[in-house]
Amino acid sequence: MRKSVGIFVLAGFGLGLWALATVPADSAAGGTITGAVKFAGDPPPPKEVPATKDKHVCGKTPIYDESLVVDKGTKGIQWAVVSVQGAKGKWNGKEASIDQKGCVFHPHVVVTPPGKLTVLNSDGVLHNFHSYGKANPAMNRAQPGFRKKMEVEFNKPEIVKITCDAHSWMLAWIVVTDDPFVAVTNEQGNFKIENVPPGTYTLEVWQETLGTTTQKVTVEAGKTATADFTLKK
Amino acid sequence: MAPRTFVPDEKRSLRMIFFVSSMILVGTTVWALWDESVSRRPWIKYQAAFKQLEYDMVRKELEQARAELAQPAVQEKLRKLREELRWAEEAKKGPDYQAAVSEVEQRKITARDTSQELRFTRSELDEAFYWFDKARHQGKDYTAEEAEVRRLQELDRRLEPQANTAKAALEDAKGRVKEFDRRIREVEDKIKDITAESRQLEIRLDAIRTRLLEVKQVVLEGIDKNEFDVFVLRVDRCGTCHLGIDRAGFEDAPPPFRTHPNREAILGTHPVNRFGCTVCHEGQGTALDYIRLVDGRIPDIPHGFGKEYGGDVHILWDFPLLTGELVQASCRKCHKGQSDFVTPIKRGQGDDTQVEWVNLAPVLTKGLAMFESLGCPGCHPAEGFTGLPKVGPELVSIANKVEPAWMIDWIQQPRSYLRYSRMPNFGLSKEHATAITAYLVAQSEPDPPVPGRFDPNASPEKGKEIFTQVGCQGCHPMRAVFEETKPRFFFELASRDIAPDLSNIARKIKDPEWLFRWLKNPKAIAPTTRMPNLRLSDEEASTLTAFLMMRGERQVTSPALLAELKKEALIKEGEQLIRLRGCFGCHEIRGFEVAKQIAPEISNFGYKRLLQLSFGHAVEVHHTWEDWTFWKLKNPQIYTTEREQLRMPNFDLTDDEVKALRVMVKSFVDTVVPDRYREEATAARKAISVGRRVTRDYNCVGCHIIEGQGGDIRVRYEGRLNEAPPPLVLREGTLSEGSKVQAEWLFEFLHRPHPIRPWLEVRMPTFGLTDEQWGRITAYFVALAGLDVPFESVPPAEELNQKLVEAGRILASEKYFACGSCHMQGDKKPEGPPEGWAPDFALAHRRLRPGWMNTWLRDPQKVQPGTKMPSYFLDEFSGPDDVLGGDEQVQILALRDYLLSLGKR
Repeated sequence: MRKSVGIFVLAGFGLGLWALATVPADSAAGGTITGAVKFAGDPPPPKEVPATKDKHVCGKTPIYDESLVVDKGTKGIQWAVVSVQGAKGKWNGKEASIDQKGCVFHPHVVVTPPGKLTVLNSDGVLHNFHSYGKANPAMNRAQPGFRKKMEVEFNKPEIVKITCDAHSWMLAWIVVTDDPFVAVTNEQGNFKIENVPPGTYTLEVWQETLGTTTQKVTVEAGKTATADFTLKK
Repeated sequence: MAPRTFVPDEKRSLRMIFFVSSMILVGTTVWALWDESVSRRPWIKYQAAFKQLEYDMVRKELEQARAELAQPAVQEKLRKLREELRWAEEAKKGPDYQAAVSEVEQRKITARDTSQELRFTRSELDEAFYWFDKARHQGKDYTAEEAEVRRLQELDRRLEPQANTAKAALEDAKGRVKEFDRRIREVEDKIKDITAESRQLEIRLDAIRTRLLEVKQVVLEGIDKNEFDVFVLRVDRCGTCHLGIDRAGFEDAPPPFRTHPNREAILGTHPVNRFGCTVCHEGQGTALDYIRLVDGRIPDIPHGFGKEYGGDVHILWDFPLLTGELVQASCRKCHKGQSDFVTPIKRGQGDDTQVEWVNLAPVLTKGLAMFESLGCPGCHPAEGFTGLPKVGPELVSIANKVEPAWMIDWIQQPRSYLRYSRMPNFGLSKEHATAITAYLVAQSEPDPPVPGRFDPNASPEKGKEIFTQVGCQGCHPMRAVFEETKPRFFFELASRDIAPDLSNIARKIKDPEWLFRWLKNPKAIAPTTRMPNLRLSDEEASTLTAFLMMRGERQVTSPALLAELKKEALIKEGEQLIRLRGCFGCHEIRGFEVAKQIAPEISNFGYKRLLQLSFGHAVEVHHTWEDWTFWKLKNPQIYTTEREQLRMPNFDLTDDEVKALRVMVKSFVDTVVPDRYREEATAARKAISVGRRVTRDYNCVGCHIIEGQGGDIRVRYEGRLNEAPPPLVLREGTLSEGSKVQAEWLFEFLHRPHPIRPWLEVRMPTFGLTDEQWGRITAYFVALAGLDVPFESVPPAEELNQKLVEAGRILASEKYFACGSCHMQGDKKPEGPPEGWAPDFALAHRRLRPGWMNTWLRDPQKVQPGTKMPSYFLDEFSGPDDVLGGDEQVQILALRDYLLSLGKR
């Protein structure tokens, strides 16, 4: 009889420990979403854009159109933005930046919490940072060659288009988001979003030329959920 | 026969008569009192209701204020302050205060003593000096006197600081006493500040409670005249019931207490105590009974037809209250020359204040634009609308342009060829249309020669490109080829096109070569046309002609018809028809150069009495001015009878358009408003009104955004707006052509446009206007910029500060701001494709205002939101530190001076 009580106590203790470990006390207790965004159809060949200006800088390395980059082998789409709709969380002091190098924005898509964004100019020629925000006030700031670094602000969540009027081919997207559950696909079209609080969410993928697609995904603590997308024109 | 009893009058009882008559008297008195105070004062119940409404409102505010006061934090603060006050008051009663007061008394004595001693010493000194002076003059020995003077002088020197010290000590002591009072007052003030709001509300509440009910009236002089042409006073008592009309806070109150719409903008410039109400709203100002007296309409048995004006009503007299949009007609009693009534209105408070541009009379504005552009004054003489250009094309050489067969169809049914045409339908038979065509062909003259060689084999594809590039689409729709979402009229003021749709142009054109000549130089063929010259080369004009001639099938005139059109009798009949229907009101036609307008004068139409309006057989139309006018405009033939043939053509107006025109027609009244009620329009206001008309006549707004409106062509430049014609006056930014460019330059440019942005395919046409017209447009832009003086001097290159110019040159260089990355400078072109370029620096000194250049360089995005020109000077790290000490403000000046130094003079 006593023995069994002891077992119960032990079991209860163990259960308590388990419960403690699984209670989402912080985001570390969340799950992971991975997947790939693929292109339906033949991957378009990379399109080179002629540098018509400042060739001594812009002409050094070939410039490619980044509006739809598809891997030949995996058909994965690079630069697609995957976001977990409705998942709430806090940014971990992330500071985002974007560089202008070889007359190309690096990276092509930047994810940033609301607030300051550092804009670098590694080229040493005149660039201008022209944003077309709707929620955020539109801006057009010159960044002459001598100004290697400047700060701009985006305070409202939205996806903002960025161009440079001095170099008409330059294009970037700033993804401003309150919650950190946003990923950008890599060259193979893969993405990974970690520490998502358990729950069922709508997973949204946005690509600048292919638009928005969604699917449902259920996240369990400590587990990895998979969600693949296939986008077509 | 019974003896006649005689009762003398003295003995007869009159009790009954007295009683009855006194009862009648009492009854009458009571009735009179009741009638006077109750039934004849219906306004009392409105005033009482408003009193209650206001009382409730203020009481609610008071409760709120009291609730705020009752909050623990506020109460705690008040408690502390009261404590402080108690301390301060107690301190005044305490020994410290007493000590301070007695100190003052003591020091007063000391100060008085010392100052008295000083004064005595000085008197003695004066005396001693007299004796000393006298002795010296008399040549006596003055040693003793001198010694005395010296002694007293010494004493004075010693006493003076003593007296000063005593005085200062007294002031000091007095200050300490005052300090007690000051502390009390300070705390009292603080307490008052906190409770001020609720106390004020209490006072207001008291004032409302004790307010008497009374008739409120405004007396206006110099508006009304009696039968003997002598001025009489006008009395408006509308405010007796409309109690919240000029007060904020009653916007949501029920009528009649509601605040006037756009109160600040309208009543701010037309204060009720000066203008009254009936000046705009008409109706009976003196009346205090709404339905019967003020309004003048009483509900009537429904007829089922003609109730488009506010339900079925029976009019009690000729000029009842103007309600709804019809009130806008009154604006033109004073504001005669104005083309719209756009006024800036401030919304919000503090930092959130936004200026919104509101048209206070939108229906009248629409009616006015339609009245002019549909050509109403062509037939109807109307005050203020004389000497206007004819709205239709001149027909003096029409035979060279169109097929007669097409013209017959067109005259009969204009809208079956052009859906959004302004040409009305005259309801002509085929025979009559043929007769008119015969006359028009007969009166037609040959075109003057236009230089240029037409190439009949030109490529229509090329022509299509030209059509989309050079700016034809700023005015002309071509719905068969290019999507068009709406009629193209000034700011969508009517469902009409400003210029013909060219979808089916080849149907009417007789000769492609004519079209070529027309495109090359429209004014050479029709001097009065509004079509500008796009400076097309022979090749461009040929290809464009080829493209246009593909649009539709030519309607060839048969030889039989041609022969018939030459018949003398038919031509004669056509002439009579033109005279009868007044075609020359809109078109210039040979033989009708001096013909008079054919329709009745309408300068006082707004005050037409019902008995002057003939309703013919139209029994369904309700007998009101509003209904008569509505149906006349909707169907001009509706009142035709056997005796009277009406000649007005049908403009095929929508209900909204009819209502707008009706407001316009209502505005024609012969009221002479005395000068004291009118503010003489400022020169700027006049310049804006006149200039706006020219920019609308020539459809500048088809391409350019002016005053934040227009720029229709921009829809063709989706995603490449920098290739569209530039906006000229924005409302959201501070971009304003008048403050940007030099007036002399603008005037010159309008006369002889030259490319400023050579990468633009779209061309600023040559309009061939007169100096007066261009001067008006220049003055218009200057006035829109709020400038009194149109000119701004530009210093010659050698007078500029050379140090700054040099610094500017360095700043603009590739090492720093690299302006040449986009901007041209004379022959020096930027790299890259031309659509990425920006205007030539060498033009700046002739074109731009130096003051504007400063504003622009400081933050171009603020001037023109979305411009390609980036902001260089947004923070203190913007400019390089090694030029001009890193001072951004000086760097801006340096850049400006450098730009001004460039280019040939």
